[in-house]
Parts: sequence; structure tokens; C-alpha cells
Amino acid sequence: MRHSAWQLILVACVWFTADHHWLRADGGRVCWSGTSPAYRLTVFAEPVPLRQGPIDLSLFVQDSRELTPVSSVKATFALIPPNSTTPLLEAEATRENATSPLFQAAQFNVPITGRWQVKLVVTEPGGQFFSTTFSLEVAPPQARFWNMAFWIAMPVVPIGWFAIRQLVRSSALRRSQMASPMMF
Amino acid sequence: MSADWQTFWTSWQFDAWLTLALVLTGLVYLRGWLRLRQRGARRFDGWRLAAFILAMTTVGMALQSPVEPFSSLLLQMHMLQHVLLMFVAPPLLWLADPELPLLIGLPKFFRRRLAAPLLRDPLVRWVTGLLAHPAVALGLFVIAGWTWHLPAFYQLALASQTWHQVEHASFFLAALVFWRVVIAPYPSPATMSRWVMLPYLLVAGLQGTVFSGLLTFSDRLFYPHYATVPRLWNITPLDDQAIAGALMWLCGSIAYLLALAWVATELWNDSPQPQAAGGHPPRQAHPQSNTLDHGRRQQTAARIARLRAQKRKRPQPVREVWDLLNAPLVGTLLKSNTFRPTLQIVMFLLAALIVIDGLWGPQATSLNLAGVAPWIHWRGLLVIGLLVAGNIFCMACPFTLPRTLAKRLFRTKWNWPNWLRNKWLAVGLLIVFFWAYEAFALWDTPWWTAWIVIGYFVASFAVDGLFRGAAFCKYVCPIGQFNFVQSLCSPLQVAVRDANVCHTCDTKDCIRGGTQGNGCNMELFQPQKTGNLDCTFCLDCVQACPRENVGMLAFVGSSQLTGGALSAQTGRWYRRTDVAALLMILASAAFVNAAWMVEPVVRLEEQVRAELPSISRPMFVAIGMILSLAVIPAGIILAVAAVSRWWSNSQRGVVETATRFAIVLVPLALGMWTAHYTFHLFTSAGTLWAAGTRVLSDYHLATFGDFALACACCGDVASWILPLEIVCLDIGLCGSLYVAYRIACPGHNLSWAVVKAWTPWAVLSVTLFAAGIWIFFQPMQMRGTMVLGG
Repeated sequence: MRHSAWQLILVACVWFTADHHWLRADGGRVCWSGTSPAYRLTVFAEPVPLRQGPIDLSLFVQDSRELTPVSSVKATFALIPPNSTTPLLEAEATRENATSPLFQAAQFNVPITGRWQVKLVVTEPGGQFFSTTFSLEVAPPQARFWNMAFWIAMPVVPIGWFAIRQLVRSSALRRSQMASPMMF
Repeated sequence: MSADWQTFWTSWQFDAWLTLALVLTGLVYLRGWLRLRQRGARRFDGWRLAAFILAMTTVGMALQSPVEPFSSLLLQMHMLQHVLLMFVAPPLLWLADPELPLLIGLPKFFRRRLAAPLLRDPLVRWVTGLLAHPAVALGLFVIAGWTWHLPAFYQLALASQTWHQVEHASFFLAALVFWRVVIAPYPSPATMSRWVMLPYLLVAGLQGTVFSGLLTFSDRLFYPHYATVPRLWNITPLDDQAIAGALMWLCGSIAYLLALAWVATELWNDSPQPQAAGGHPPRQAHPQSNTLDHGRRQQTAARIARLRAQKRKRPQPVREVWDLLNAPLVGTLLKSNTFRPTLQIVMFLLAALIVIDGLWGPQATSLNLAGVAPWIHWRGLLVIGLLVAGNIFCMACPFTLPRTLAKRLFRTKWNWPNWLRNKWLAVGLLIVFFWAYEAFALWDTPWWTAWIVIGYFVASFAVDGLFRGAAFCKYVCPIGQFNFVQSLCSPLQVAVRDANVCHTCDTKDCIRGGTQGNGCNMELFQPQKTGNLDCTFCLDCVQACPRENVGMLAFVGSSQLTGGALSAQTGRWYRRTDVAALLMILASAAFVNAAWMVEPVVRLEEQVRAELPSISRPMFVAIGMILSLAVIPAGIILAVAAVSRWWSNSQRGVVETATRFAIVLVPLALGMWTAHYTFHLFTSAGTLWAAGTRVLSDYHLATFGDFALACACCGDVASWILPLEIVCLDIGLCGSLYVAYRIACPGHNLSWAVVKAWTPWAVLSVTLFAAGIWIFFQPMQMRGTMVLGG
């Protein structure tokens, strides 16, 4: 019963933490930087390079005069696909979606490759909206094989471990066999 | 407080995984520390506990305090993080002498089953011994520091969270190795004279100074990332870099100086080196064995001979393995006389439902129970049952009910013919089944499925009505053969609990039967049974044994596979070519059955048939099946056996080698079957709901108005299914390679002959693995999705 309890705790921990890591994203590389009347804004994009599929856009906001980090500014990202003028994906950048408390992040699942336009809308302290547009190059997804390479290569670790273990064990055995005749 | 600092101090972040790991580690240490204190170990005073808590806190501070979010914006913050992970947390950790408290603090199960075997493992001992060498430890520390601070690697870590974590982990681990040599925590003995620590620390300090100097005084920005990120507090990137270098210089120098002072004090006090570090006093050299006089050698030899003789007479140890029959509730249920018949009746009713629906229901596969339940759900659950327990299906098999009836009606007296007492008939029937499956698309024909079920009942009734024992299960049933072979990898085995009890048993009730119950119908004698082959998990032997000496014991799956093949007893299944043929057919069928469903193979079949219009499809499939299940695999296995035999200079014949090694294919085949059948189960589980609702609606017990229900299976394949399939095959590959190794190397003496005998089988296993991966990457047909005539 005690063993089952331990196993349950472990499974719960792994599940909880795995879930936790899936939900949150983090910085990446700076893809745009600029200023609004009240703020200095920097947008980070991850993964590097950006590929078709899940991506993360994180916004870092600073006071434009003091350069002090500012948290929880209302900001929205809208993603416009290549050869289009209407946004396909839209999400609010929130602090909860970001790993770093300095950032506000939003996650998207980008369906096609090419040069996307990103429209960032930030609400200024007076209630006015600041809007800017910049482009993001989204590369084709990696071949399916490479996405699965980790899973395919998994046996290398136990096989390598076992091979080294057997080498060590067998050399120790050989040494003891060579030494034992001297005992008698 | 200014807005800047307010932002800084409110930028704490919470990582549940890290917090949990730190808290759990701390609790384990605390438990061990308290236990050691209770036992009077004065070494473990309050200072050590404080050092451990401080070390855990430092790691937490480095990775969860405001230092972490600011580290991607300021190099000095990132450097502070590295200083905490390399110069503060590791020395504090080793000062706490953590090895013993952590081991003692672990729960008993983890300590005995995981930690103790791991610590005794020769490879672990070798690796820890290697890492305790000052040259290795210093080398790792320097390489980790310099490599990760090279601009290319540093930039990589800044651009990717994963690489950032890898960077921190390697810093922390390298620092643990480095500081362990300096502090030599109890009970690890210092491997070298403490004088070695003086140049060790000086070299470490020198290289740290060079690196810090480069960062501090350079007028070139090493890491362009910090030029692109927003500036904080008006610090220029170059100033930031200089501050980072100075920080590392200062903190590193303080750490090295403190360590030098620690070592110098030790040397000054002239304390014995290992004891000063908490170790044992140096052992005195053993007297050279060649100084033993002749008489003493003879005495020793005689004593060893006496001990060996005593050991031979000594009763065999009782297996301390987990027994499912001792488990609460489940064990009671399994031992109950009514449990198995109840299961069989339930399965019989389900089979009857499938027959009725298959014969008289609509012939739309995904709306008919006969179209979905046997081919999607039952097969998927069957392999899961084999993986988690054992041959559960044979235990609940409804086809054995006619046997009971036939035996009561006919009172059979004939024995199964001797020339059929092998697996050849089952091998032939398996080939016929796989042929019929493809040639007549059995999965897509509820009517045929119903007739197969009826055929099974009739065959079981006829065979077991005419012949004694369980001839149908043992020599005829193709499903049984599948279960027998795959259950060789199962974790549970019906086996003897204590071999000594069997040595004193005269009645042999487990095979002959007795007052308590029937003996084994499969003619398996428990004390000689080496695996699950031919075992139906009927538990008759459990009921029959008057001493309750048979259980459902937990074994590591591979022990059955290697144990049987390594046993020296004659007449065992691993020497039989019919069994080897059965293993080969089931292994090749695992791949052929899956491959025949993927688009490139189906297209190839169409192209070849277009070239040969005179051959009907059943004939074409028959040729294909004979070639792909029997002829080609037999040729390959014999060729591999020939290479293995020739290369390793083995005295065994080619067929004997092939027969002995054929079992290597079983884990890989089970991996493939599991991937295949669970794929259908997980992607098409919803069809049972559709078919079940349709059946109920036929009898006016439910409403079935939405045909879309039937397409519940047609959705996207979940992203986790492909990794799951690959993992199944990964485990199968590891199992196959291990079994091949154990057969090639029965002892532990690894030699070139072993490697040469093993390599051809390893190549075959890896090739099959690659073939399986290729199949997974192809678009697969879905079973039971043709409801709308697609």
C-alpha cells in the first residue's frame, strides 16, 4: 500500500510538472523592438528559428523614460498569414503564459510557412491604443523523422549503458580470474 | 523603494518541478539525518543540516529568484546565477556529508530495490571512482566552464530554454564533481594525498582568473544577444560584461581561497588525510598470496571445498518475489473456484452477441459488433493484458466451455497422436489465418468474423471431445499460440513459490490432479516449468497443489526468454524447431500484418497484380504470405545463424543455432504487435459506442439517430500515438538485443567470440526495428471506418 502511494505521488508529480512545462513559454530571440508614447516594447519569438507549428511570442514592456520593466500591460498579438490582409490568429499576451514574470506571452499554432505579419496592439495608460506591425519569417516544419528522432534514438542510452557496464564487469571478472590461481 | 527594485523583487517565479525536487531532497536528507542522530552519529550535527538546507536554498535562489528572469537581459545576472550554481551550492552540499543521510532517508522500497543495486553496480562504482580522480574532476570543471562561455554555445543557451537548462545542469554537475574532490565528504575516502589539493585549487583559480580577466577588460562584446535585448537601468552591454567578469573573479577567488584555507588547516593539523575528510584509515596492504606456505594453501582449499559441499546440500533459497495471488482482493478473486467460470461465461455471452450481430446485423463494419469488437477492442486489450500481467485471455477464454461440455458428454479416452504433438499444425493454421485475414479482409466482414467464432467453438468441442487433455489449446488454437509466445515477455508467471517444497512432494498433484482439483491439462509440470509457453493461466495447478506452493509470481520479462534458452535440460522447447518456426512466423507476421495496411505496400500489391492479371487475389496473397511469413524469414534466420556460427567458431550446427536464437525476435515482435493493436484501439475506440448503440436501438433499448457517432473513430490521430508506437518498438529492440546477448554470453565473461555470435542477431534486430519505424511513418488504413461507404 505504501509503495502504491509512492508511485501515485511520483506519477502525479510527473504529470503536474509536465503539464506545467507545456503551458508556459519563454523568451527566445528578439524579433522586434520599438517605442510607443509611454513604453519601450520588445518582442521575443521562440523557437529559434521559427517553424510551422506551435510558436511563442513574448512581450517585454519598459517605461520609455526610465527603462523600468512594466508588468501587466494589456497587449494583443494578431497574426496575418502570407498573401492576406485579415488576421488568422489572435491572442492576448498574458503574464500567466510566460515563464519569466517580466514577460507577457501568447502561444500560437502557425499552420503555414512564409512571411507572416504580426500586429501588436498595446493599451496606453490614457486608454489610447498603440498599434504596430512587423513581419516574421516562418520556416517549414522539420521532417517528421527529425521530430521523432528523440524517440527513435532512445534505445541508444540503455544499450550504451549496458555495453559499458558489461565491459567493466567482464574486465573485473577477468582480473579476479587471473588473480585467483595465486591464492591456492 | 524605487520602481526598478520593486520590479526586481516582485519578479520571483515558481517552477513546480524544481521546487518539488528541492523540497523532496531536503525531506529525504532530514529523515536520514534524524535517523543517524537517533543512532548516535555525532558527526551529523546541526551545522551539516544547515549546510544542506542552505545548499538547496541556493539552488532555488539561482533558478527561481529574480536573478533568473533578469539573466536573459543582463549578463551580470546570468553570471551571478552561474556563481551560485558553481561556487556556492556545491561546496555547501558536500559540507553536509549528504551521501549517508540521503541513502538512509530514502523509503525502504527505493533504498533496497533502486538505490542499493545501483550503488553496487560495477559501472556506477567505476564511474564514481573515475570522477573522484582530481585530474578528471578538474578537467570536467574547466571544460564545462570554458565551453559554455564560448559565444556560440552561450548564444545557443540564451536562445533556447532547453539548452539553457542543459547549460545550468552541466555547470552544477561539473561543480559537484570538482568540489567533491576538495571536500571529500564522509564516508567517501580521499583518493589522493591532500597536498594534491593545493595545485588543484591553484590551477582552477588561475584559469578562472584568465577567463574573468578576458570578460572584464575586453572592449569587445562577447555575446551579441545582450546588445539586442532592451537595456535596463541604463547599463551599456560592455559595462554589463565588465561587471559580470568582475563578479566571477571576486566570487571565484573567494571560493578558491576559502578552500585553500580549509585544506591548509587540515595539513597544518597533520590529521590523517582520509579521516580528516571523514573517510576510513588507509588499509594495510594484504600479505602477498604467494607467501602462503603450502600447508596453509591446502587448508584453505579444503575449507573452500567443505563450504561448497555444504552449499550443495543447503536448501535452495525461497524466491522473494511479488505474488499476485497474495494481493488483497485480486488474489482472493483469482483463487476462488467460481472466478474463472464467471469470466468465461461473460466472454461466452459477448462471443454469442458478436455471432448474432455478425450473422443477422447490418454488414456495415463500424456499426456491427463483429466488425469492431474483435478486431479493434479485443486485440488491443489482449496485448495490453499480456504486457501488464500475462495470458489473461486464455484464462477467460470462452472456447474452453465446449471442452468441458464435450468431456462430460463423450468421456474421451483417446490420446492426441504422437506425430501431432508439436507446433507444426498450429504453425500451418497461423499461416492460413493470416492469409484469410488479408485475402478476404476479415476485419471488414462481420459475417465471416461470426463464422470464425462459430468455427472456433466447433473445433474446440470436436478436438477436446475426442482427445484427452487440452489438445486444442496446446496444439491447434492459433490465438493460444500467439498468447503463449507473447506471454514470454509478460511480467507474471505461474510458477513454484518454494522449490524445496516440490523436492519433498510425492503426489505431484499439480500435473496429476488430486482431491483439491484437476492437474494441468497442458501437461506442464510446475517444478520443471521455465516460462509461460503453453500456460493458459487456468490456475488448475494452483487449486490442485495441496501445499499452496504455486503462485502468480512477478518476474522481469526477459528472464523467461533467457532462462529457458540457457537451461541445460534436454527436450526443452528452446531446442525444438517447431517452436522456433512458431516464433519466426509470429515475429514476421507482426511486421507483415502491419506493413500490408500501409499505403506504399498496398500500392505495390496493386502494381504487381496489374502485371499478373491471371492470378486471383487469394492466390496472390497466398504466395505473398508463404514468402513473407515462412520462406524469406527462414532464409534470413538461417543465413544469420550461419554467419553467427561461422564468425564465432561455434560447434553447434546452423539449424541448432537458429533454433536457439529464434527467441531473440519475440520482444521486438511484441513491440510491433503492441504498437499496431494499440494504434487501432486508441484511434478507433469510439466505434464500440456506435456499434453498441446500434445494437441496443435494434431492440428498441436506445435511440440511434446520429450516424456521425459511427465516425467517432475518424478524427485526427493524436500526437502522442506515434511516440507511443516508437517507444513500444524501442523497448522491443532493447529486449531483443539483451536476449541475444544473454544467449550468446551465458556467463559474464565478455569475449570477442560472444560479440561475434551476437552481432549478426543484433544487425537483424536493428533492421527489423528500422522496418517497423518505416511502417509507422506511412499512412495507415483505419479499421472500421467505412460506415458511409468510403
